[in-house]
Amino acid sequence: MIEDRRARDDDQTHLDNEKKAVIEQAIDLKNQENDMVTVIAAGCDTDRVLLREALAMGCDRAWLIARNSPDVSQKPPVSVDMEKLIRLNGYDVILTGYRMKSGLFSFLGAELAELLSLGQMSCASKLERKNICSKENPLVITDIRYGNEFLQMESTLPCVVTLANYASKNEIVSVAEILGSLKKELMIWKDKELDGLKAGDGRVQENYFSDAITIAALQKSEKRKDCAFYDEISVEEAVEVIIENLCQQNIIEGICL
Amino acid sequence: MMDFALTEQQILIRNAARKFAEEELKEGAQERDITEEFPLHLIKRMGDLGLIGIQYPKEYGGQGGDYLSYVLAIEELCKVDSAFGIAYSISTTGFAGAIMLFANEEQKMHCLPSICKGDAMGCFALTEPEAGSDAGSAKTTAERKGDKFVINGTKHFITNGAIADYCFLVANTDLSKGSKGLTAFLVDLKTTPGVRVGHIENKCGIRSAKVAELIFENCEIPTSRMIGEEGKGLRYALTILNAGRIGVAAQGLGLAQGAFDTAKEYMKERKQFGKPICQNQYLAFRMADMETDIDMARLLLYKATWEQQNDMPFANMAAKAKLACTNLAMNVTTECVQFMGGSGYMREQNVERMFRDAKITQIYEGTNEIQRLIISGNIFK
Repeated sequence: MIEDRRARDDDQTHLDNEKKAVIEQAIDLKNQENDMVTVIAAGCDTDRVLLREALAMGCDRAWLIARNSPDVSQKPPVSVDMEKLIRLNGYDVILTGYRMKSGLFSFLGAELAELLSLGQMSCASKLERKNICSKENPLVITDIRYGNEFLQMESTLPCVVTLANYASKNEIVSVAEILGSLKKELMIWKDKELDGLKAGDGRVQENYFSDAITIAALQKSEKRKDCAFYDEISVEEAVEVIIENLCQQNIIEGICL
Repeated sequence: MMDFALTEQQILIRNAARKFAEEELKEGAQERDITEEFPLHLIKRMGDLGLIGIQYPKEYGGQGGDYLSYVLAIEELCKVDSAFGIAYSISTTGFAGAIMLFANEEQKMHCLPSICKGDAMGCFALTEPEAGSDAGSAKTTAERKGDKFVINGTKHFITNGAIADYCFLVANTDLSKGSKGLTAFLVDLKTTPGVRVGHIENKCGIRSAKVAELIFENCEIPTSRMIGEEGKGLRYALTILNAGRIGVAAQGLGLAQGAFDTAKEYMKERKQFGKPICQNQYLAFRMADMETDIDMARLLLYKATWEQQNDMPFANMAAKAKLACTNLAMNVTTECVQFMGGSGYMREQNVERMFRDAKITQIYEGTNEIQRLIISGNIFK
């Protein structure tokens, strides 16, 4: 299970429903084949309590990416760090939530699929493992919501699945599960360890346009906390911010319009 | 370097208790205050979640956790229903704590597993009509006859008395020795002939907690049910009251926090003279004072819990925590009713129930005057 919390500014000490739903689906899949679930998240040191909750819910191992760089723009995209850890861990199915982001707007599931060169099924609502006995052709089958209908889709492993199901069972973890989670591995990955890991050959196409709209919207109004006011940003404003970002990143020197 | 942070385990246990309180306990709290029904099924639910006996060893049905996690759970319960919270605390500390500390293995195995599972409840029977603060003058007798003790007398104001399965009873085996004749016993309330529930109290607050009289009339129990040594009953009881004080302090803190949170939300919504009432400086400043007081009381409570957890003498700190948190509960609930105006006085807002519930916290488990005796005695020893 993958998610990035560095973009969030809330200080809650419990997992929200979306994250719980993803964890529950992962554990459900694990129980189908007696497998193992590793949860990977990006955030700060205090987010370890969220990973502890994931362990209490039934995950087997938890890894937290906690880079120390004070300037967010100097950190690599979260998906890049996660890709390194996923390669280290080994994987069959990579599950993430539909709204889980890498940075402000990029979708984690899509970026991971790109970096790992895997197929991705998105908007999935339930998963089932099949044909695992046949090691040559293991499959995962999911229902994908398409309008008001559900289509059934299958994929060979490994693959990335982005879940659209937010209906967590919302169960209370018991004290026994909480105390049992203390025996499970919870590792924090800092800059030095992450920089020492080998990345794959994939490259993420960073989404300047979405970030530009966000930055322009924030600049227009200090009160805006979310960045959904697309209608209020003109194309000219968005282009201006995109060019500025590209120049700052030394990708271009300038554009004559 | 002092570390004020809760551990991950403590945060998660607190969150589990909070979730249970918000999703399962809160609904019906107002109604239970009117009907005075105690929800035994929720005790069972807490047992299933492992929230009873958090701090006790696994071999007795506990979870092997720490004491602060248990205190955090009490606070969360009492934010929404302090009657339920105190019933839980008395069963888990007043009764089970006494058994853990002073009973033998057979006695522990007889009752602790079912208490921790939520299948049974316990009570602590010390107080009598003529023996409240002066607990040493208790007159209930336990006369040895062969291989039995025969108990006669009346205990009153016993929290959980009307519903408990087990009782930690303090009775006198030798009246000539006065308080030094007091001895502790384990009594199965529902299966022992000669013990019955008498008058069930009609109270101002904590109305769904079943506080009752226990009447012993030639009640026979085997001598194997004597706890610890003969004549040490008062010492055992006073030791347990120290731990019980931490539970009542947590109750007071929960009441204060619950009332504060309710008033805070109300004050953000309620508009008078064109603005939310929280924008009136006097009210905002009073809320700032109250939040500061709540945090101070919380630190005192956690310090007392830390001392107990680390096997340090904690009676003095427990007395301070009880005094501070229960006075806080009374002050904060009173203010919050006031700040919420007419609405605060009505049942629907729940804060009037918290106001009524708060008063008893200054009285039971040792009145606040007794706490001051303990604290001042320590200052001037």
